[in-house]
Amino acid sequence: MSRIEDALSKASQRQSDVSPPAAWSSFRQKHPTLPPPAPIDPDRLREEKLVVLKKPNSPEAEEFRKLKEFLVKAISAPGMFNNVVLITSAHHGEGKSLVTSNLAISLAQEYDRTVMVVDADLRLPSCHRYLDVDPEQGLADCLMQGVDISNALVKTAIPKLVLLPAGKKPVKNPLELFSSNSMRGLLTEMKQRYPDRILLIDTPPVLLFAETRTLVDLADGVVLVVREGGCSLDDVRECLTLLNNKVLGVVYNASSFTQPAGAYQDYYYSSYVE
Amino acid sequence: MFALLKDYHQYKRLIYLKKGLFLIVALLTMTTAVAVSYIIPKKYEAKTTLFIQQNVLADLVKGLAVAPSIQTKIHTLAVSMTSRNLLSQVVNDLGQDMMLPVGYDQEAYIKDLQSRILVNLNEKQGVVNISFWDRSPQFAQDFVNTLAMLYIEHNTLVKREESTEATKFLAEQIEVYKKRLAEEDEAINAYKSENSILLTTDETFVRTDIRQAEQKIEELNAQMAPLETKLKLAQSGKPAHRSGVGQRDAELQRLLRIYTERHPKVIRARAALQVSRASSGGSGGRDDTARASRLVMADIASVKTQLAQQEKVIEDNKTLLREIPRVMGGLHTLVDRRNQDANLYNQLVARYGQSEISKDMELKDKATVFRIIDPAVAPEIPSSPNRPLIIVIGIVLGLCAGVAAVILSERYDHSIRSLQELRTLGLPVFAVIPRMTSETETRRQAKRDRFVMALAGGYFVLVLGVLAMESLKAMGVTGEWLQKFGLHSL
Repeated sequence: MSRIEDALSKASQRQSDVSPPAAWSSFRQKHPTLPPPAPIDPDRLREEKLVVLKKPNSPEAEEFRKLKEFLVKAISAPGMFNNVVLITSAHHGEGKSLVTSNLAISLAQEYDRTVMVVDADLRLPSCHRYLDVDPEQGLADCLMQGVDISNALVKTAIPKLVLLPAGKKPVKNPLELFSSNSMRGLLTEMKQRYPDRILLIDTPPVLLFAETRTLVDLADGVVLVVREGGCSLDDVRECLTLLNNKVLGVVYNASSFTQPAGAYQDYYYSSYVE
Repeated sequence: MFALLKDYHQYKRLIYLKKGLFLIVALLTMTTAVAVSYIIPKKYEAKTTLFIQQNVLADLVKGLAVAPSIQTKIHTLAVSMTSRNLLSQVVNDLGQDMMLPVGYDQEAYIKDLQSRILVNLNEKQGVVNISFWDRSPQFAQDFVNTLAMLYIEHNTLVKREESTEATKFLAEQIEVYKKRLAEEDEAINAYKSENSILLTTDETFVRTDIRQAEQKIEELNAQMAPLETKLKLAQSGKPAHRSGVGQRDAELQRLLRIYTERHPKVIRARAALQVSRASSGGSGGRDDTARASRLVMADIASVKTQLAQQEKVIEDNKTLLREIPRVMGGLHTLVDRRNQDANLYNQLVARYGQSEISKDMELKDKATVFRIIDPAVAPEIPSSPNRPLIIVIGIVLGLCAGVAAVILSERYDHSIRSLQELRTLGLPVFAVIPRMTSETETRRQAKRDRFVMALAGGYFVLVLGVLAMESLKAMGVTGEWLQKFGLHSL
């Protein structure tokens, strides 16, 4: 036996000795084979911009699928599962909530994924509008009044997608709330209680408000939404610094650029539909 | 060409994207222009036309009389029309000085008036347009008419004064020259009487006299030589004539070989020979000798006296010859001066005649006449502000300002415009999501766009309406038509 073969057998033996992380093994053990997702009726949600649901064969929906794939790869490194993802942007109106909703629906369409959207934008919450729910309670209520999280969660029209809304009552001190131990405990609880779920947290703009900078410490990764014409390169650089280099990737939103292969894609998608 | 087309499409797209900014800036600018055109105080311009008529008489009397040319008058007209004196008179006549506040700077007021007067000259037609603008149309009219009237009066007065002054001056000069000529005539006469001899003497005669005197002297010298010889012989008392005759004969023969019969030496030798022969043939005695010697001496003295006389004659005549040119020169100088003055005097007399005719012409306004052919009337339409022009400029400026605002906003917008820019950060780009619009949103946007465009279009039409109305007013289409639509108050 050569020295090389000897080294390979040793490496193989060492790899078999390493046990996977607890969350990972737990996730696998509890859901060895998930049932196939039930077909979702697109008409159950009114928002037309939820392209993943409304126009699943459109290039836009395909881009969200790409986003999903990249994100899953980024958070599913071998031996770990970092399921708390912050979605934010530099300024207001760059499309965070819409990206979050589309991404959540796309993830929920997976065989073995469940998704929870946390609307942490207590100043201007909008996820409930996209997901077409009318929440009574939300995150703010959990933090301020100790409402149990299971009571605050709202099931959406998408079977494997739940929403933790921001809450109805206006909050005057979101920064203090998010920097409290309650918030930390709540997130830890959500992460551990639903280890198979991916938590997407929709947050306020980074450059405008401070609470996102607090939340980023509790997240495993950040997706930064950049809208064309919405912010400058300097703004993005500043965001990267403020987000402690936890940015996994960028979503370039509202692009006016047309893909060169658009015609081919249209043909391809139409044939796919047929 | 392609680049230009590309730029055009790019700007068109930009304007479409930022139509709100474009419309706001453009309409605001137009509104400002309209507002400015209404805020600027109205100015009314009154205009009068003067016709400068040159009478036929001016051509007829050309050369006989001197009439100021039209060109000369026109050149000074603009200056004299706006002179302080004239304007002060106009203000006084209009009673405007009474309306002025106490302590008002009259100089500034006159300057202000001067700046508002415009004198246009049309030399070919001989027409002068005088215009003046003021906030009050009535004042503008009165001012222009008074100014024109006063100018004509002033001009006529000045003309008359000028003509009278010129005639008077010529008369004075004629008197002066007359006196001077009389004085010069007297001086010439005195000079002539003083130097009458020299002036009447002819040089030729003088020279002839000199020549004759010289001949006389020669003859007297010829007579003197035998007389002197005779005197010597008489005083010696010896008949020395024998040998003397022979010698003198021999001498005469020698001279004849050299000179002609008329040569003085020959003449003298022949005379001496004759005297020698005569003396050798006479009877001798002591008394006779003495008597003869006295006679000879008397002859000699007579000849000498004649010689002296002739030399004096020569000397006098030579002096005359020297004096004549000087005296004649002096006379010529006096005569020339007199002639010059006489010439000037004659010209003055001739001009005096012309001046008399010119004066009569000016006094009777026969030469050049200013006539008001078009008196000013109170203007109904203000000349300024030119509202249609200001509004048109405002519209053009508004469109330009709108485009400029869009371009500037684009230039100073440093937001990310392409994926390439984002990629320079080196971050992984998970997805490039195209611009998504829902049908509802599209409809809402289209509805909003229609509303904005209708609003902006309506506003623009309003601006155009104001422009059209002001243009009609400027063209004089006022009154009934506008009253009919209740727009006259605007």
